[in-house]
Amino acid sequence: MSEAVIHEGHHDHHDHKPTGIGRWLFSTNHKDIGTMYLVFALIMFFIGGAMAMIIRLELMQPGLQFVQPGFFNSMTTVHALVMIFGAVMPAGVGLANWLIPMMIGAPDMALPRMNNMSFWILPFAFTLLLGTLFMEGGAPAGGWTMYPPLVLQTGDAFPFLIFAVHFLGISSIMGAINIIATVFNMRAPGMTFMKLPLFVWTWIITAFLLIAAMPVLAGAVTMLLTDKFFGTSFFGAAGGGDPVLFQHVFWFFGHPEVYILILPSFGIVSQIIPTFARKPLFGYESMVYATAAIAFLSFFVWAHHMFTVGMPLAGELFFMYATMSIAVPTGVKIFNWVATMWKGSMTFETPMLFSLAFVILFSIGGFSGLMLGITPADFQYHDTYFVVAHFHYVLVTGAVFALMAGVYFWLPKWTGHMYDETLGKWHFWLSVISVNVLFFPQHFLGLAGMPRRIPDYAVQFSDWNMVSSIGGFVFGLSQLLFVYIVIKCIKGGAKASDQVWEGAHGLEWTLPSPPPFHSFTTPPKVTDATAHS
Amino acid sequence: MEQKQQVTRTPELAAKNRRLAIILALAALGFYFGFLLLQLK
Repeated sequence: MSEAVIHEGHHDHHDHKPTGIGRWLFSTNHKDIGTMYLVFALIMFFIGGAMAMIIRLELMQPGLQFVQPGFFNSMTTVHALVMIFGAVMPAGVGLANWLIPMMIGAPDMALPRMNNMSFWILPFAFTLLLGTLFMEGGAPAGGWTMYPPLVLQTGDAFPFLIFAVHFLGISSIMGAINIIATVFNMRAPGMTFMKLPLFVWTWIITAFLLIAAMPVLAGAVTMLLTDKFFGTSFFGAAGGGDPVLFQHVFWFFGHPEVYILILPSFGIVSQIIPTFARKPLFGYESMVYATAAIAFLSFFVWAHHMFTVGMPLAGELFFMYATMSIAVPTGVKIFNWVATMWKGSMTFETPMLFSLAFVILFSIGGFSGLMLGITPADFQYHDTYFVVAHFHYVLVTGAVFALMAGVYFWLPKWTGHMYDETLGKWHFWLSVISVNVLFFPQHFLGLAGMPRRIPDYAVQFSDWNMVSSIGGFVFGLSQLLFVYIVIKCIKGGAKASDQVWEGAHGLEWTLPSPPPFHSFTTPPKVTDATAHS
Repeated sequence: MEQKQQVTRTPELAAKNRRLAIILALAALGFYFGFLLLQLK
């Protein structure tokens, strides 16, 4: 072969890696970039979490206690933007970066320099967004959905919000392109599509969703920008525009976005449950098709977010039935996870505990979603705390729990050390109890009529708000334990074996723990034992 | 020796990766501008 090939082989032997700040600034290594994404997501998780604590502190009792209403509204708005675009999405991309090349037997991502750029756009975007907290007029306060005409009343922060969203979109699209190119072009010989681990499958489908949905959001916010500064009237009724158009456009992006957040989590859980049930995943092919069906259907349900805006009966019926049809492929997935566990030799290490909690609590979020999808019922629930409870069950006990399960699952592989299992279980039980104390009462508050996005409320809502806030503070504090466990594991601990978990299958487990800086520089041999089964 | 080949380093694969990236980027740009043009009409 060529000299270059021999040269590479030489480097692999020494596992050469750059040092200093340059290693991170100019990194083109998928493992380093994955680590940066995960650390960034964790920092954003705590920044967004601090905002949630301010929200729960203010809502602990009726009346205004700690913050002004305008600042409270900024907190709800920026909390959502930070958690969605800064925590959950980058955490998913971080896992994808670390794992996809190792799972498919590739030496790195297909476009390593673009990978570096995708990551480094994020800190700039969030500097723009978080900088608005210190600006004249305050941070954006009109909700993360940025509905006009309210959002057009934002002060100096407005263009910063718009450009931050544009940058986040560009970063996500570049990441998605990289993932697709990697999986399509870089698979080891013999790694056919139907041998790919479910995590890889869910990420391919997520990446296509990102490419289709993010440009629509970018287009919508560009139109907001021109409405504000360049005299257009896309959404201004006075100039012949239509504010409801924005809602349609936003949710055409927004609903697929929900699946962008949750599909990688489905993939994580689909890796973990078979490992700790010591059985192959039940219905692998149906899992792939169900994921694709969910993604496809997600483009036809957007108006269920805006039933109360007023639309023809036929439209309401269409969006109601389309929404409910998503329960079918989602049900297939839940059934398959349960069937995988059926008669399995199960053990309950921390990743499995988080995955089990995911299956149960995400289903609760799914059921409340079905309730919200019923048009006449939604007229009652719309804009109440019931909606807040619903999407936090989906995104916290769903997406975040699965991400934590994933971190515990692969942390020994990444660091070469086992994490502290006792502390991991403490983290799980504290989290799972407190998160239910935090969010379950919000169902009651919503059904009783408490509106969302308000800093004050009628006294009849006092008790459950107090309970919810206490749950919130315990949940927030519990996450400090997670950071301690991760740092402790990075610094040392029992040596992890290559396979780490007895029931683990897949190419990443054939590598040493921790894997070398450059892995699979020669394509591995893909056998049934190293593929998903 | 074929097994020793460093897959990212083959020019053919790099070109294939670039080509796919350009197609996907054009698709994303098409969604963006197509959508804006749709609203302008």
